[in-house]
Parts: sequence; structure tokens; C-alpha cells
Amino acid sequence: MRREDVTTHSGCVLIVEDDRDTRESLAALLEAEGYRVLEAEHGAVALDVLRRSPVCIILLDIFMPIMNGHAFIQEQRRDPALAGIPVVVMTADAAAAGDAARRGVAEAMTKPLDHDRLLEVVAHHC
Amino acid sequence: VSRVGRRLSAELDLDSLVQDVTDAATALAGAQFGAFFAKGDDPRDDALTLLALSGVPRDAFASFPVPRDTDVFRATFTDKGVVRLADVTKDPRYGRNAPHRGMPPGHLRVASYLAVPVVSRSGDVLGGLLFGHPAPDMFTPRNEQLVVGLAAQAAVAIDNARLFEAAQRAREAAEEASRAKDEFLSVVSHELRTPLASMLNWLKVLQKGRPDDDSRFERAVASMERSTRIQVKLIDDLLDVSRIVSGRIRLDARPVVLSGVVRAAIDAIAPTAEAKGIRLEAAVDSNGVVVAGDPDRLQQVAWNLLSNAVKFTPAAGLVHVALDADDAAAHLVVRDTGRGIAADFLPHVFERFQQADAAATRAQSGIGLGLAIVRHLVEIHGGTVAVASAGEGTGTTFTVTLPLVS
Repeated sequence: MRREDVTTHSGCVLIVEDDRDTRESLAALLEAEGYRVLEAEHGAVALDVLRRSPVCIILLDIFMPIMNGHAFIQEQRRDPALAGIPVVVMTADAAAAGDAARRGVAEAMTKPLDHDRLLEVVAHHC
Repeated sequence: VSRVGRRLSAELDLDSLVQDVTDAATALAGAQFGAFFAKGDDPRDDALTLLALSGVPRDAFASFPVPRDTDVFRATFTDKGVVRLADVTKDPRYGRNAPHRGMPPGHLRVASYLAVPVVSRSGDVLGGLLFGHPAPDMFTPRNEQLVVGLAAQAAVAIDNARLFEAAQRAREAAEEASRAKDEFLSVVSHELRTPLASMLNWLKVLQKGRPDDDSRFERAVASMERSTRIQVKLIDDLLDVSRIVSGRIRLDARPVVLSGVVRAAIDAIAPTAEAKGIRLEAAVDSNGVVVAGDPDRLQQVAWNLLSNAVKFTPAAGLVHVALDADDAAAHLVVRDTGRGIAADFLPHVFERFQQADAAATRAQSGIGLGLAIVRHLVEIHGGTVAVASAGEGTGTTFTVTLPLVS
């Protein structure tokens, strides 16, 4: 892509998603928008990443092995250093998105994602 | 009687209901003890169960078998009406049946005997109320009348309780089916949306222009192709299952050299196995193992088993395919060193929509149709498929047996 199109954002986005194709494509999309991106394939890896690197927003899948999205949110909220980071839940299951919305996350989106809305939410927090 | 009756019609818990009836009837009959014997729900089964005892502790009878086949006792449960005897031991029917020819040693002494059948609305004998007293001539026609009235009300209450239980079971079954359907729809929706999500993400990236980074462009294209194929396979599986459910699968049957079909499936899965670092070994007998069938469907059987094995086997594992035959049948064996299957899930692996992991935490994608399709395709070819696993962590072996063309 042409360099001049890329706005540089200071923020760093963490994507927590077990499906590799979904994770990498979303990372590419956000990098093309000028964000720095960190990736984790489940909740436990995400907690490790967060304790090393500050991020401005977490894009979180729900159905994942080892530590799923619900368990991740519980752990994140228990840690005062992480509890304030906004979370966008992304799930292919509309019911799970509804559950997440009721748990007070910043935004709950169904996959495939509405890219305009996603970029708006990310820009708002980063 | 009517006071007890009102209470009975409100009582839906069968066990306590039967105990209440037996207690009330024993008191009304003036008996030393009373018992309620019930027939099972199945009218073909004439076994009786002692449901309640009154007036004596249960262990007074615990050592005796239920006396099902004596002439005196049986009459009550075969709709022969009330039996009221001043002294049971003097009745002509008494003592005629082996092995005890009368009451067994140790049985409470019974002279006065009253037995009243409990008959449902539909005329079936639900059970019987039996009363005894060691002294003769204790039960009067008035006692009999009271107990018959109570038995009639008890029958209504038992009918109601059984209907209530049946309705509850039906409702639970319906709720379970509904839960399974919801879970399935949720999994299907998830699995169809996931490849779409990454395709649309990549499209958005590519819409901004071809990335400077060639490897990113290649990854985008490869990923979009992979996602498309995953979705095509999902839709094919869903359509197959829909055809299976409605019995519309058609076989284009002809003699098939099985080794060719199996090799084609191995070739198709080899890149995936290699990418995952799994060794794929084949011992395929190429000497004319010929079965009658649809080559595309047989290849689908082999591919589904192989792809399942590769999916559940970790890196550095082994998937071994063997094809051989005896006089009557071909045997295709797919063995892996993967995670194996827990004993309690083994009976369910071929059921539709069954996956060992709960959706929220599962490590593997898929909608749980592959093995159900395998079983159905094998069976319409006149064959069988079996699964064996010594438990989680020990690998799994699937064996398909197909009759040879004679």
C-alpha cells in the first residue's frame, strides 16, 4: 500500500483469538490502519502479554481452548493493573455477544465484523 | 375416606402417596399389617414390587421373595376382585404352590386375609393392597367396603401421578432436544461465520491496495482460499446430513478397487498432515480389493477418517492407514497416536452433532458431522464401522469393514 495512506497511531491493540486466519487477517487490517498489534491465541497467553506490554484496547474472542473469553474477562478484572483496559468482544455467536454485552464490555460485535464500527471503537480508545 | 381421598388427589409424588394409602387402609381395615404391591408400567411384565408396608418394620419381610405365583396371591393382580378370608390357611387355594406350600418359615402369622386390587381408569390392575391379622375372622364386610373405596381413590391418584410423571419425562425430553438443537445451531452459525470473518478481514486489507509486503499478500490469498474450502466442506457436510436424515443419499454403485480410493484420500490429506508435522504411514494392499459402491462416497469415508485422525493428533504424532482383505470383507483401519477418546464418549462418536468438547472451550473446529456421515455411508454400502480407544491420550483406531464383491 502507499505509505502516505497510513496514519500512524500511537496505540497498541491486543487481539485474543484462537483461529489463526481470523487473528492474522484482523492484525493485518489494523496494521494497515497504522496500529501496532499484539496477538494471543487464548486468554492465558493474553494475560502474559498484557503483563509485559501495555495496550489501549483488547479485541477478544469468546470460544477458545485453554482459557476462553469469559474466563479471561474474570481474570482481567481481578487484576487492578489490567481491569481498566477496554474490551471489545468479537464472537461468531450472537447469543454469546449478547451475554458479553450484559457483562459490561466496551462493545460486543458479531463476526464477520463491521469494520467501520470496529475501527471507530478502536480509534476512540487508542 | 374422603378426607384421605382429597389429600391423595393433591399428592403427586408416587412413593409417599402409596405409603399414605397403605397406612390409611391398614388402619381402616383394622389389620395388624398391610402392604402395597405394584405392577410395573409395562403390562407384559407381571413382576410385582413391594412399594409400601404398614404396621410392621420393612425388615420383617425383607428376607422373603415377593410371592408372585401362588394361587391366593395372584388372584388380586389378575382382576379376580377382592379376596377376603376369615382364615387364609383354611382356604382351598392355600398351600398348593411350590416351593413353600404356604407361608415360608419365619413369615408373620396371618389368619385373617384381605386383598383388594387397585384398578386404573383404563381397567388395568396397577397393584394390590394386602392386609393380614394373626387372629382369624378380623375383617368385616364394612372393613372391605372402606378399603375398596380407598383403593378406588388411590387408583385415580396413582393414575394422575403416573400421567404427571410421563408428562414430566416428555417435557424433559423435549427440552433436551430443544437444547441440543440450539447448541447445534449455535455451533453451525459459529463455524460458518468464522471463515467468513477472516475472508472479509483480508478483503478489507486488500481493498486498501496490494500490501508492499509480498509475504503478507500471499498469506492473504492462501488464507482466503483455505477459509473458502473450509466453508464449502461445511456446507457439503450439512447437505449430506440433510440427505441422510431424509433418506435421499443416492449411490452411484459399481465395482470399486478400494486401494485407489484410499490412496486418493491419503494424497488429499498428506499436505495437511505434513503442515502439522504428523507422519502419515500407509500399508495399502493394492491387489484387487474390490467392493461394490460409490467411489466418491467411499473416498469421502476414507478422507473423513483420515482428516479426523490428523485433526486430533498433535505434531510429531503418527497416523497409520492399512487396507487389507480376508475371504469375505475388506478392512480399512485408520489408527492415530492422538488424544484418544474417553470411554464414556466412545458410544457417541458416530452420533450427529456430538463432539467430546463443550463448544465454549474446544480446541477443534467442526460441527461434529464427519463421523456420523462415515457411519451412514459405510452402512448403506452394507458395511460396518467400529471405533476403539484405550482412553484419553492413547490414540484411536477406526475400522471400516466392507463386503467384497464375490
